[in-house]
Amino acid sequence: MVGYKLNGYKNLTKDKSVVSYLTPDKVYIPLKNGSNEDSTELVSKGNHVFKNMHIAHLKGPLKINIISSISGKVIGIEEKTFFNGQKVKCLVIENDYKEDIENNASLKKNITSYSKEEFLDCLLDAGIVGMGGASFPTYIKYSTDKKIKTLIINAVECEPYITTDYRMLFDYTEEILETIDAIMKINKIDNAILAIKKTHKSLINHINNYIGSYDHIILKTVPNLYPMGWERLLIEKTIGVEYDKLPIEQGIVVNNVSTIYAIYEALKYGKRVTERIITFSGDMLVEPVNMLVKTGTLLKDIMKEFKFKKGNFNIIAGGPMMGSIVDDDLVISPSLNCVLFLEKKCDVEVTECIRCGKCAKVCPARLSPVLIKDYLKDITMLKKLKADNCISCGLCSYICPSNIDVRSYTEKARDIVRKAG
Amino acid sequence: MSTLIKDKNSTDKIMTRLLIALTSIILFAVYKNGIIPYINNKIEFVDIFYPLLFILLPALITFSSELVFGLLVKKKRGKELFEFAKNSYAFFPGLFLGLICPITLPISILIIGALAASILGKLVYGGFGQNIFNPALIGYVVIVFSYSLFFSSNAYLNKYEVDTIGGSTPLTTIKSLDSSISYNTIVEPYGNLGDFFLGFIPGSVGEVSSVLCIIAFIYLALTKTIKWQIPVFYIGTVFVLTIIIGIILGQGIYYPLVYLLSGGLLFGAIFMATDPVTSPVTKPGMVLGAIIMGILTVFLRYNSSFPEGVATSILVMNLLTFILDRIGFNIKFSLKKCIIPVLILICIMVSVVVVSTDKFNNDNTVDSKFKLISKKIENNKVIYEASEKGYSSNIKAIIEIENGKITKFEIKEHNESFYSMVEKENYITKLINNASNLDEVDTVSGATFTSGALKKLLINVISDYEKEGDVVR
Ligand code: SF4
Ligand code: SF4
Repeated sequence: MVGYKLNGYKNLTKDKSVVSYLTPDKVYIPLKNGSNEDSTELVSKGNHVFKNMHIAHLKGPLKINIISSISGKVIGIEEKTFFNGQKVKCLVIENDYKEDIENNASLKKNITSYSKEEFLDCLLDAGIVGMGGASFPTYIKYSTDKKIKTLIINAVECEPYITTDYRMLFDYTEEILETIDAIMKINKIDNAILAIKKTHKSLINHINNYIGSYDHIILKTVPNLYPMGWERLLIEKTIGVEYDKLPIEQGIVVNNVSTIYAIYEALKYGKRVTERIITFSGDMLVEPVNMLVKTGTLLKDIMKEFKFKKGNFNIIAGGPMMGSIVDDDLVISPSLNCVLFLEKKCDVEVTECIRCGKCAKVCPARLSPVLIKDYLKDITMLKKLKADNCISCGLCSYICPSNIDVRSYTEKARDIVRKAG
Repeated sequence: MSTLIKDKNSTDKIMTRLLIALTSIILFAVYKNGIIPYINNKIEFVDIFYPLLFILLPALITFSSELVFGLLVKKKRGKELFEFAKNSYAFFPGLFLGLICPITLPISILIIGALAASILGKLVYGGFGQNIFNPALIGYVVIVFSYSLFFSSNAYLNKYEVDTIGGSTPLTTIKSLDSSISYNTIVEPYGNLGDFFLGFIPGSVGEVSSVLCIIAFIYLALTKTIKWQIPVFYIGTVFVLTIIIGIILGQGIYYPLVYLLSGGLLFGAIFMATDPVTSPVTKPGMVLGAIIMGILTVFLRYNSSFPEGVATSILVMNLLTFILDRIGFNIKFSLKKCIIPVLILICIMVSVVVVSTDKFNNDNTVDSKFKLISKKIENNKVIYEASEKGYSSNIKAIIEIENGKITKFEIKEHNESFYSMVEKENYITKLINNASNLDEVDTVSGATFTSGALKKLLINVISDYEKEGDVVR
């Protein structure tokens, strides 16, 4: 069986109601999405901006709109920390606390009555991207000539600690089901599958109370394994279909729950992506919570709301498996779903590889990381080992008894192979 | 950057668990080779601890040579040096070596073996993780070649067993018996199958107690300490093949069990074949390697002068590890890639079974199915009544021998479908005429089993007559 059972730590936050922090003095809107930094600013220093306003575009094939999350005055551009740990250029806006909203005209009463074009425009306009961490612009997934047969809603959240989708699905069950139904009608999709971890019993019961009226939306449970939320694995597990490069080849679109809810708000209220729920958790936080925050909020400001236990800690943006260590200059971006405060352990001792084969056993991409590590200099062998299939899930590093950061080797090998073509 | 959470399994824990698993086996070695002989007044009190010394001394030697290596080559000092030797699992090759050698081996030879294990088995490759072969087995091979007495049949018996059992290990016994195998000749000299299971049979110092090995295996497998696929498929292959051979030879379930529970198969499969460094890292590689070892072990046990075969099989698997992993990672990508290797292995299995049982079928001189029903001596004449299994029934015959000459060979009872062919050939007359040279008489084609049985019947009767010859004369 592909995948590995990790300790989830979900109970820290999953049953707590969502709190909010929506009044930062300033926001720092990152001019970047995924790896796209090709930005054109639409406002400049001194301008007044509304909340919900387009303040920049990112160009290129993955073009997307950048939205202001508050009303106030643009006071400049600064570098802050992006969730991948690198520095990112941000538009700084000073809050006037008025929450003045730029009006969006083309709203429809019934969210099912949008045409496909209107739907795509709306997603692009609202700046909706994959909110489970992938940051892939959502409108692109739907702008296809291919017939979309299946929509899969990914509510798996396989990384430990994270419970944003869990909370969303619990609190906004009707809205989310309604949106799925609307997306299906607009895009003429035959069926939809809502994928949830088998172990989330109370959530499953809860949803079963609502799902009855939507007979083409099916709830499917998946095993509590990491990385079950990985698209390829999820599709294989739920509908038994394999694809080569992208799910759309097989007429499949996968969206996560937060993304669906963002679509709901866009279709229903013309709201663009200005805030999101984030899990703040980890063993050094006295009160782990799910919190609604504005995009562009500085982590430093949010941290003032928290109490910490004594000791040194690492700040991690994203889950503990795939996330990166960051500083408190981190800005909230639309695809960030989790910030962790984990105790800084004294450096673990890295020892010689004992060739136990555990990394090869856990790799969900069916790679043999230990062999990839052996052949790091041999490109032909790396190609045969399909090193380019590594998805950076980190299981090999997690499992290695010698504490070797095996992923750093497999990622290097992947880049070597990809570069060689 | 590494992941921010880690699995609990660390090299330290793996090492500790291996030691825990070995502890009961070491204690049993002391009990069997120290305490039992002492209780029975075969050895002095201090000698009780000799088995312990026998196991720990080589371990100490391999550990210290690693220390020297770390000091001189890797330039480690102080605590770092100690950690280096520990993380190189330097204790284990010596420990295993002591456990797989016979207690009668002189300590001096054992020391040479331990040094060889460390230096030739590991350090010449550049240290831990680089070696191709299992270091302990390299030490073992050096001992075998430098001390050939090792393989004398009773080297494996401790002072108590020499007096009570005599003879040799079960597998040597099986080999020497050739085709007169039965529960009575194989198992009974050593007690019963329970003794095999508990480990009260002759063998090397630490590898005889099957029940302790199995408990250790369960512990190590559940804690994910070893590559559990290897012992399962290795032992499974040996079991299946010996069951088939057992069935062909008409033996009961005791037969495959003897092969399973003796000759260090369990210990070797569980502790030595799973040595992480020298075994495959991909799951399909492990399974293929294990099956190859199983086939090879069976082959060697039936067809070579090394009745155990485990050490050689593991070393061959070590040599193939590289190839096994190359096949292994391809099978991981596409299961179809396993078809050819599996087909090849099945062919090899069939041929090994055929080769191993063939010897027994061609062997006419002694036979297990021969039954002497009665024997009467009248003057110079001996009248035998005897039976032998033919093709579809037991053939019963009366044979009279007078002054060394066969005067009568009469079939009393049979239910053979092809008996007419034997009659047509006048086969019985042929046998009587060539009584002094029966090996030259061919069986009747088309009725091989029936004619063969008649021949065997006569051979056995004659050999009995010759034994008793003096009485008659
Ligand atoms: S898990 Fe670590 S020690 Fe085991 S084979 Fe992989 S890299 Fe080597
Ligand atoms: S990080 Fe890459 S190589 Fe390591 S387990 Fe995940 S997919 Fe496999």
